[in-house]
Amino acid sequence: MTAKLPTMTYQERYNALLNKQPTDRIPFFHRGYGFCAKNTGFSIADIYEDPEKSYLAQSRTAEQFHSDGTPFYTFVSYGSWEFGGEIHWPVDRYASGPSVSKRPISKPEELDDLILPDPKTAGCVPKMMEFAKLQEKNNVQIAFICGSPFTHAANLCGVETFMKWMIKKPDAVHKAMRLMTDHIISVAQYFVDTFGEGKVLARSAAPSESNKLISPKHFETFALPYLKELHAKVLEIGVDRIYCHVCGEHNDNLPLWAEVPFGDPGMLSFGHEVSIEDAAKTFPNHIIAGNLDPQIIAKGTPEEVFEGSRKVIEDGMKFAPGRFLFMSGCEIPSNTPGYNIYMMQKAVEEFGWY
Amino acid sequence: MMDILKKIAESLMEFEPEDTIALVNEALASGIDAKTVLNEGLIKGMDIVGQLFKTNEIYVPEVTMAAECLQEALVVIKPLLKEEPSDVKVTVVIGTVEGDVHDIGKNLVAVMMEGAGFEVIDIGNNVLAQTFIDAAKEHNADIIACSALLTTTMAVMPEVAALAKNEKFEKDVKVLFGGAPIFEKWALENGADGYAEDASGAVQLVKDLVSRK
Repeated sequence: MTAKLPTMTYQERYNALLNKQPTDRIPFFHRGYGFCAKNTGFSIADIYEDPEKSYLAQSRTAEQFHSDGTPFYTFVSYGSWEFGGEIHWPVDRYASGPSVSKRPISKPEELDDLILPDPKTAGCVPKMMEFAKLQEKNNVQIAFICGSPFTHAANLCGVETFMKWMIKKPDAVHKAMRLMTDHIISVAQYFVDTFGEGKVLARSAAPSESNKLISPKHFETFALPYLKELHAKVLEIGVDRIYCHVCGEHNDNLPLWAEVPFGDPGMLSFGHEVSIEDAAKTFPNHIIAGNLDPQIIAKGTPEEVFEGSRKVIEDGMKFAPGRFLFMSGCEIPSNTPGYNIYMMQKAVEEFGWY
Repeated sequence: MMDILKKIAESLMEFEPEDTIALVNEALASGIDAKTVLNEGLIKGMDIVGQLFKTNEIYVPEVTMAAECLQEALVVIKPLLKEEPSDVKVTVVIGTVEGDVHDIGKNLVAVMMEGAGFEVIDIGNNVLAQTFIDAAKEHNADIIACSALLTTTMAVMPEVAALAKNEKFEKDVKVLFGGAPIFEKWALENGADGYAEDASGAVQLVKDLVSRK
């Protein structure tokens, strides 16, 4: 087979995707935050703690694998440190991200004592802003963490406690959701004020709303109203669009997600649990990203990764032509063999041309 | 008698621990022995909870609350249980492995096992491989159950299995692996004596392994 050569740079491809213009091939994002650190000789803690090193690790890895993804800042366990909790940096042998060492609250009544933090100094936000200035300097997409409010609110007291409150203390859950939604809006405003309207992408992930944890009914009651409000509000104040990783098993939530605004077009990525066909049909106007099983990437043979990639790419091009981005279904582990990422790249460069 | 036991079983899904305890006390006061209350009331109730969870009729919030009802009732029941020669006591040491602080899955498995009448020693999360071994020795365990949510921390599980194989326990200790990223082939190839897909399956697996010993 004759290898095709790209006719667009990653920036041209990304812009074309957002502008609903044709691209030479499907965009590809290798994904894997800790992977980027290890791949380039940095520590896992560096990628969360040191924006300069984090940016370098991600941009070098993207260059290596011809990835269209640009560096971004994310923070596992967001919502705890920002409201006065304490975090533990991932310095231990197997740690993959910051973890919460002390929750801001443990009882519903303690919610009354929580106050909205100043977004300029709250938890990881200063590092996220420092990172965003690197994004601006390097002329790549500027982004900030925009939820999900449910996942972040659960980090105030811990997911298990939050789950119990959903049954026994629903008012406390709503109070926590209100607080977290208002906080995220304040962060969005801070970023729009700093970089200008239409310049900033909101990045969000929703693992704790997965149907592995909660029912669609609970999603509708506790998560959906705040998601709709938050997304509408941040778009209104000048955020360009919203990217959301609909993490894990969300099949029963999909019709409800369809009610949430994401911008035009928004971007949604899915885990391997949701088929690209279902995602593309549920969101006919948005960019669909996904969704090779990260287990295959991390533990599969190169042949399995290549074949799995081919299948996902073909589904994406069939069900979301012109608006599909190929990536892992979720974060890949830091110890994923680099050759398996190369297999994803190779599949894109063999099967992903329009 | 059956009526009150049925009410105890059903009460777990009412999510009111005080009501479950009241029913347990009522059953005990009526002369039903503690073991019958446990087996025919609470354990049957958790069996129902497990089945509803498996078929996606209930989710983690409901299971967590049912588990709270069970655990509070066990505080009342446990001191009243008398060991009999025919009793098969199963002790399980369970924890989430080093580097991993996710404990919802581990807690669900622990409570299902407790609900099945096993003695469960929960050693928490971010647990070093050697700590599993030390806890198993201290409690003379039959089973070591390791949980992980992250693919990065899966690597600790073979360490636990290897340490267990080299350790001289009083019993033939079996090691189980579980958690979202774990699959059967990997578990068995990396030293596990068994693998189960979910909490209910883990309970059955322990029963099977113990009965084969």
